Order: sequence, then structure tokens, then C-alpha cells
Amino acid sequence: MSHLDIIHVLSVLTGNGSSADHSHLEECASCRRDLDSWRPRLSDLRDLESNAVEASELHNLRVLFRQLGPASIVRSWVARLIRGPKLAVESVRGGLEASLGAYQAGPYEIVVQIRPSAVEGRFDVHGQVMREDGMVPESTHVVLTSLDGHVDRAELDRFGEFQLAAVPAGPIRMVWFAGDSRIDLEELAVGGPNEEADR
Amino acid sequence: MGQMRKRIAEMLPPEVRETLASKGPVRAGEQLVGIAELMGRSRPGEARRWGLELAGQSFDDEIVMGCARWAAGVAMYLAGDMASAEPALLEAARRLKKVDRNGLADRASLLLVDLHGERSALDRARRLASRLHRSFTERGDRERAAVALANLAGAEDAADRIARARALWRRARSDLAEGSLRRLLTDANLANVAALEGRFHEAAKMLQKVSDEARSNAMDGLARQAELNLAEVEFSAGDVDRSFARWQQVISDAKEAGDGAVGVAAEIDLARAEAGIGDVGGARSRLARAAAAARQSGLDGEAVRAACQAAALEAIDGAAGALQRVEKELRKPARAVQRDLMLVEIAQLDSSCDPGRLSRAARRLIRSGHLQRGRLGLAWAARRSLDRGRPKRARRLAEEVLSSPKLSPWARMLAHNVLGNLGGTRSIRHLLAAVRDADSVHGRLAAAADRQAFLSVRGDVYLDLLRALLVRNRPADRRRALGIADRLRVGWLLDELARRADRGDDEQVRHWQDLRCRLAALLQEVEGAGEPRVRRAGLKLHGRIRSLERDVRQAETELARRWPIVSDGSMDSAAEDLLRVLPEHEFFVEYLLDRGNLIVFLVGRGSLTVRVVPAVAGEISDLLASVQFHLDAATWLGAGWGAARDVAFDARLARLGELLLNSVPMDGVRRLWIAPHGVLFHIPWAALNHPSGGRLIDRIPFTLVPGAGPAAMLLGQQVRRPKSVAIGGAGVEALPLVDREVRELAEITQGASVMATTTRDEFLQLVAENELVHLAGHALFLDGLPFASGLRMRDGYVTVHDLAATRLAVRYVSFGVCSGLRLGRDAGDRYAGFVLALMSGGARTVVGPVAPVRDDVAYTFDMALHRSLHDTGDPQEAFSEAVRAVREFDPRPVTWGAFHQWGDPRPWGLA
Repeated sequence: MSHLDIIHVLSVLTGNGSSADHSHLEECASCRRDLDSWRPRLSDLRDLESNAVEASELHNLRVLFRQLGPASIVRSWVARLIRGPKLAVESVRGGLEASLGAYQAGPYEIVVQIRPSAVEGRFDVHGQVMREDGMVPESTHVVLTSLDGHVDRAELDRFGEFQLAAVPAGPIRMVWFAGDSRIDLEELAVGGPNEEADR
Repeated sequence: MGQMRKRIAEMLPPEVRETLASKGPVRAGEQLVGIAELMGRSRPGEARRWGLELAGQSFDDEIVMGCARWAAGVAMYLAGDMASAEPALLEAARRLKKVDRNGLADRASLLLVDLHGERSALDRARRLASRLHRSFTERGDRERAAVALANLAGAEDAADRIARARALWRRARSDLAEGSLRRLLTDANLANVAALEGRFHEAAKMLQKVSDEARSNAMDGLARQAELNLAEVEFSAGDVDRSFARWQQVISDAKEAGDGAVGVAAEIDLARAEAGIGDVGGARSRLARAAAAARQSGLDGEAVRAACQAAALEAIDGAAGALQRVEKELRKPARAVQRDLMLVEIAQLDSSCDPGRLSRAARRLIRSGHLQRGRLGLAWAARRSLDRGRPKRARRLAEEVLSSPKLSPWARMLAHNVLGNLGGTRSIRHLLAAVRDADSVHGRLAAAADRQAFLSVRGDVYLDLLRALLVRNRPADRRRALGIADRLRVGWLLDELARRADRGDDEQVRHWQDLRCRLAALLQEVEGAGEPRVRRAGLKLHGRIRSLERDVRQAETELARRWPIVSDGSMDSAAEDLLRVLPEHEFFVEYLLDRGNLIVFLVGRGSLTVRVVPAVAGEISDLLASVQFHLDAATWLGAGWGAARDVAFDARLARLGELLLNSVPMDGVRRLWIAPHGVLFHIPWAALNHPSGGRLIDRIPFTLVPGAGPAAMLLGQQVRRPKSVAIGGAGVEALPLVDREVRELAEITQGASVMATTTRDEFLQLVAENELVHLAGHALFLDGLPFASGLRMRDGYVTVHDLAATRLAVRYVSFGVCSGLRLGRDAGDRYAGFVLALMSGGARTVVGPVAPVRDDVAYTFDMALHRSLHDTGDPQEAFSEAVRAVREFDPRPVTWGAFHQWGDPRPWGLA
């Protein structure tokens, strides 16, 4: 008996499965487990859709979700910008063109640096994710998407660091997947505030 | 006859009618042509309309008819309407010959020689000129025979055959009457040849004489044309102020006289000059105005010239498809040469140009006599063929280029580089020849597109040779490779010297200074008020800075062309010099990342080895990205962000140490002179772990240098204590320790000039007049636009451009500001920053941080550095002491590892 491939599983999940697919699922426990593991991820996608994500970005997210495979997300957070005395901003003898943001998301701390890339008009995004206790989350991916359809993903190394090169300027969204946890960083502006904000 | 008289009466002034009645049609026809010439030179717009109308009229008398066509042809020719002039003149000659007026027919044909030349029909022009010269000589009319030669000279000149043109004009001049229009025209042409050959003073004198004589003979049109050329000569000679004023004068004079052709030509020439001095925006709008005016006056040639200039500006700015945008304008067969010239110009900058099409255009140019541009086109076709993976075609084209006589070094450099990259036994010989040509081309290319293209390929020309030498790897190859690495980097530093010092006070220098001031003012907007965690450098602002910085660069390139640097002697000299002067037990190590490999040059007294570590460049770049992230972020995040981040930073340093220091001897070594390259500039060298344990700063004294050449130069000179000291401060409320630092350093360095709140001009004066300068304050570094980075002063910023433009007295500089020794990647893979600008200007030692630094950390470093310097006079010891002080204050390597020392570390007073 051949099992359902991902296309057929997703067809069933989106209500487009054939009667043959449904019959197979009734008999096959393995495919049913596979189907169940996809439900939370599809639910995330539906959440994104309800947040009025642009069609191009949603398409990229769908592709990435498929690449990452099914997983059950148990906990999720939205990253929150850290302000206040934890940052020694007032006593530094200068600045860079780069921007630096520090975020809190549940037990995680995230630092994201965005600086001009060697490619004109693009930016490199470098960052680090750590738990507050200094531990690095294992097997973590980060996915970056932007409104113009750019999409990239990277794995975090043993120090929780990641690099995404030549990201186009404009608003981006980043999502980290760490085990059964998920962190969303929404509407970060690469290259500083966008044109509207600059006026 | 009655009908003819009626028509003539409508078209001609009364004196011609009178001549017709009293002296007959030949004299009246000649008079008509004379009037056409006068009108064409003084009121071309009116002359063209009149000529077009006259060319459409019919007359009963065939002589009058022929002369009317001749006059119409002259008027339209002088108004720039070549397409209408040619059929009129051909018809004139045919009609006059038909009635056996061969003398008149020949005179009408004289202008056709010029017209054939304009259309690049050189053979036709030569045949006709030869026949006319023979014919006039047989009649004893030496003056007109001379005109035939002069007109042929014009045709030869249009085909870039300058020497032949000059000989013909000189021959013609002796038979032309003094003060006559033809003589003046010939003098003007000889002046232009002199200018082309670089004899600007002589050319200017001749053109001034032509202009004066033309004015005194009421030939104002010719005078304006001479002044237009004079402006061009003055600009080429570097007298920008005078040339701009003259162009403006010609434009206003032409407007008053209704001389649209010269007015538009002057606008286009002035626009090109404006682009040359960096005012690209001004040039664009002037070209748009000139193109519209040219179309309105029916000056098609000038309209196309304006469109081509605008397209070239676009291509220089990096816009693709510039050629396609002007192709419509150039579609007419008569514009074929112009189209081909344009294709060669733009193909240099736009890699999408089809090499097949380019080579066909280049061959057409060669056939039409545009030899140099044609050969350059072939050389670029070879290069583009190589880029597209067609080696056979590339080889054939490059060999064809090199077989041409009197080839320009620019085309020769490209052809040699192509053949060198194709491999074979003569590969290195070709690559060496390409580098020699690159050195001789440096700064001497006249066309802006050529200069831009040269800057984009020059780095490859050096690196291609370096790679090939290291593959062959003989001892002499290694020495030469080190010399190339030095030239590759330091040669670029030398570029900056070309623009150092504001020489004189001319329009170009003032424009450049103005651009620099505007750039410095824009930096203020990058700083985020109260939110430095996220810089407010929005896209719009970034675009404005980038655009302004590009204008500054353009102005500097033009200045460098006017005052080019003559490159130094042989390619081996840097390595040879270093091998000779490097002291016993001191080593020089240079690191270069190239095509995935790490290349390590290790030089000891009399020995040079090269080691290539394969396939580690990617890993090193990743490690460096992480290191830079930690260095930049740690300052803002402070110590409260957990030891885990320091562990990550340390792990990177350990791996980098393994990759970079493994092959470097440590035992018994007294000092290392380290020349990093590219991303390696950002290594926190002091904190780098040695594979056998310990940090580099604890294992061995070291210093950083820009390359083998500067190291040899520093070692070859005496060291002495700086004679004058200045302390500059530019503090803000948020940096309470800056004022204290300035006060306390003033006490340590007694007798120093102290400026607690320094302005832009004051700081530039400090480095121009004092031998040791310390600056405490605030700096903004733009990694993507390093030349635009600035040191903040009370009234604005001092940018890297400003430092590169200042004559320096300073020998030792210490920066108590963020990123004072940081280097950012610039165009063409160059790196730039304050430190390189200072060292290329003569500073021997520069010390400071390579990353953002906290107020308290900078204060600790600076105080320890200057206390030790004052006590010991030993820069190396002072740097080590200062790093030690910071380590005690904050033991994290991410903090103290951020400090660098560049240049000469030897104790003052020792040789």
C-alpha cells in the first residue's frame, strides 16, 4: 500500500482531497498521523492569512512551511522590543549605519543586527537567539520573508547565531522555529524606516 | 526672365537684384552664395529656413538656378542641416556643369568634400578633393586649390587622422590670404589639433587670435565658434573657472545673435564639463534643455549629441539599457558612425552588450577611420566574449587588437588581460603587460565612460596576475606577487593622494569642496535622536547620501585626472625593499582572501614564502561576520547579556587564530608587521588566540600596516618624537568623559594645543599643523559608504573625503571615538576609512577602536595610552599598556580586542 504524499495530504487538509485519499486515510494510521501533524502548521498559515499577508509573501510562506515539514507547535510568542536600562545607549562614542534591535519572546532573547550589504541597496541580517539562562535552543530555523517576495531561511549554529545575506530594503517578517516553539517578529523595517515614515 | 526676376526679388536682398540687372547671373549667383555664407555664420536659424525655401524654388536661368542651389546648400550646411545641404550642393554642381560653368561647379563642390568627411565617406572626400585641387591649380586658382585641401583636412580630422589633417591644413594655410575667412578657419582647425596633442597654451593663443580677427572683420559667428573651442581648451588645461565663464558668455552672445547652433553646442559642451567636475545633476538638466532647443531649431546633430551625452551619464551611473534609449535617435543611416561610437562607449560599462554586435560596430568604426575607438571596441568585444565563455572568439579578437599599430594602452591592457586569462605558455607575460598598461593608463583617460570602466576592471587586472604568479610559484614570482598585492591596495591609496590638497582656487575645486560640505551636513540626519539602538537612516536618506557621495567621487576622479599620480617603479620594488629593510627577528605577514583560498605571504629578513590555504575563505568570512556582529552589538548590549555570548565570540577568535596564525613563527620573533585585507581588517587582532595558547598581544608585539610597500617605507625612515601636540574634543552631554579626557590629556601632554569643542575647520587645521593629534568625541561610520563616514565636530562632520583632501603634518593620531580605525568596503572591492586616508597622507601611526566603544572604555584606553606615550615615547608599549588598562576595566575580549594600532610601532628617537 503506497502512502499519501504531501500534495495529497495538503489537498485533504484544505478540503480538496479525493474520495480515494479519504478512503486511504480511513485505513492507514500512519497517514492519519502525518495528516494530524500538519494541522497546527496549516492553522498558523490561516492566522497569517487573517493578518492580511500579501499574496506573494503567503505563497513563499507556504513553500517554506512545506520545506520545513509538519510539526506541532505547542508554544508561540511574539517578540517584543526591549527598551530601558538594559541597553547602554546613552554613553557610546558614535554610531554605525547598522541598526540593532534586542527582543524578548517568552524565555528567549533575540538580538538582530541589520547592516548594509556588499550588494547596493541590500542589507545583511545577523542575529543571535538564546534562552535567558544562556542556553542555545537546539535545531532552530529562522525564516525571513518580505513584501516583495524575497524569502530566505537559515539554521542557527551552536551559538544560536544566524546570517541572512542581501535582504532587500523594506518591511520584513521573521519567524523562528525552535523545537515545539515558535517566535514571530513582525514588521521589522530593513534599511531603516520606509519612505512613508521618512517624510 | 520676368518670372525669374520676380522670384529673385522675393528671395534676395536688393543688392543682388541690382547685380543681376547690371552684371548678369554669374556675378549675382556668386553674390548670392556670399550672402548665404554670411547669413549661415551669423544667423544660422534664419539661414536654414531661407536655404530650405531657396532650394525649393525654380528659376528660368540655369546659372541662377545652380547658384541658388549652391547658396541654399551653403546656408543649410552652415546651419548644421547636412542632410538637406548635400542634395542641394550636388544639384548645384550638376546644373552648373551642364551649362559649362565648370569653375562654378567645382566651387560648389568644395563643400561636398566637407560633407563626405562628416558622413565618414573618407575615400569619396579624398577623390573629390584631389580632383578639385588639380582642377583649381590648372586654372591658377591657388586659393581655391588650398580650400580643397583644407576641406579634405576637415574630413581626415573627422576620421581621427589627426596627423594627416594637420599636414593638409598647414599646406593649405600658406596659399590662403591673410585675414580671409578660410585662413581663419584653417587657423582655428590647427589650434584644435594643437589642443588634441596637448599643446593647450599654443591652442588657446591661436584661438584667441582667430576670435579677435573674426570680430574685427565682422565675422561674429566664426568668433563665437572659436571662443567655444577656446572654452574647451581652457577646460582641458584645467582652467575651469575661465572656461565656465567663457561658455556662459558664448551662450548669452549666441542667444542675442540668434545663433542657435553655437548656443546649443555650447550648452552641450558645458554640460559635459559639468558632469566632468561632478555636477551630474546640473549636467543632466542642461542636456535636457539643450536637446529640446536643438530639436526646436532643427539641429538634429546636436539633439543626438545631447541624447548620447545623457545616455553616457546614465551608463556611468550604472543604469542598464542606456544604449537602447538612444538607439531610436541614432537609427538613421547618417548616424551610423555615431551609433557605433556610442555602442563602444556604453559596452564598456554595460556587461549585457552583445559581443558580436560590438565587434561588428568596432570593425565599421575602423573602416571609417575611427581607429582608436574601433580597436577599443574590439578589445571590449574580446573581454565580453571571455565573460560569456567563448574563449576562441575572445583569443581571436584580442590577438587582432594587439596586432594593430599605435594601439592605445587602454585597449592594449584589455587585450593582454584577455589573452593572459586564456592560459598557455605566454599567459603570465600577457598579464604582466596588462598590469604595466594599467599603470600607464592610470588617471589619463579623457572620456568619463573610459575612466569609469577602467576603475571597474583594474582590480581584476592586478589579481589575475597575482593568481597566475602564485600558481607558477618561483621565488621571483612570489616577490612579484607580493608587489602586486601591495600595488593592488596601496596603489589605490595613492589615488587618494592625487586629490589631496586643494590646489588653487578654481571652479572644480570649489564645487568639490561644496559637495563635501553638503555630504558632511547630511550625516547629521543619519544620527537617531534618542534612539541610537535603531539608526534612522531611512532608504530615502541613504539614497541621498549615496547620490551625493557619488558626485563627490566623480569630482575627485576628474581632479585625479587633472593631477594624475605617476606610479612608482617596478612591480618587485615593494617586496625587494621590505626584504632589505625588515630588521632581524621581525616578520611581515600579509593575508589575502582570493577565490575561496587564503593566501599568506610571510616575509623575514631576506626570505619570502607564500602559503595558500585552500577553501577557507568562506569560513573566514562567516567567522568575521560573527566577530563583527559581536563587536558592534556588545557595546550597546553591555555586560548584562550573559557570558554565553562571550563564549561564542571566543570560539570564533580561537578558530580564526588557528587559520591565520598557524603558519606564523612566534618563537624568537621580536615583532610582527601584519597586513590584513578585506574582511580581515575587522579581526580583533590583539585578542586573537594563538594555536599554541595565549592571546596575540600577550605573545608578541605586533602592528597593522596597509601593505608591504608602506611597511618598507616606514622602516626605511627615521623615527622621532612628534614636535607638536594637539588635543581636540567634540563632546556632547551624553558623553561626560570627553571633556574630562581633554582636560586631563592637556595636563599630561604639557604644551599641547587644546580645543575642547572643535569645529570642522579647526580639526582639519589641527591635523595640518600638528605632529601628534588626539580626538575625543563621537564618530559615525557608514559601512556601505565608508568615504562618507564622519568625525562629529561642533559644526558638522569631517568625512573621510575631507581627510583625504587635507595636507597632513600629523605623524601620530589617536582616536577616542567609535570606529576610528574601522574600514568599510567601497566600490571596486576597495576598503576605506579614516585610518587609510590618514596613512596615505603621511601619518605614521594611528591608534583607536575598530568598533563602537563606550565612553568609559574609550576614556580608560586614551588616558593609559597617552600617559605611557609621554613616559616612554614608545608607541608599541603605549598601545599594549592601554589595552592592559582596558582589560583590567572590562576583561571581556569583545571590549579590549576592539582596539587596533596601525603603522609604525617603533620607539621615538630610534632609527
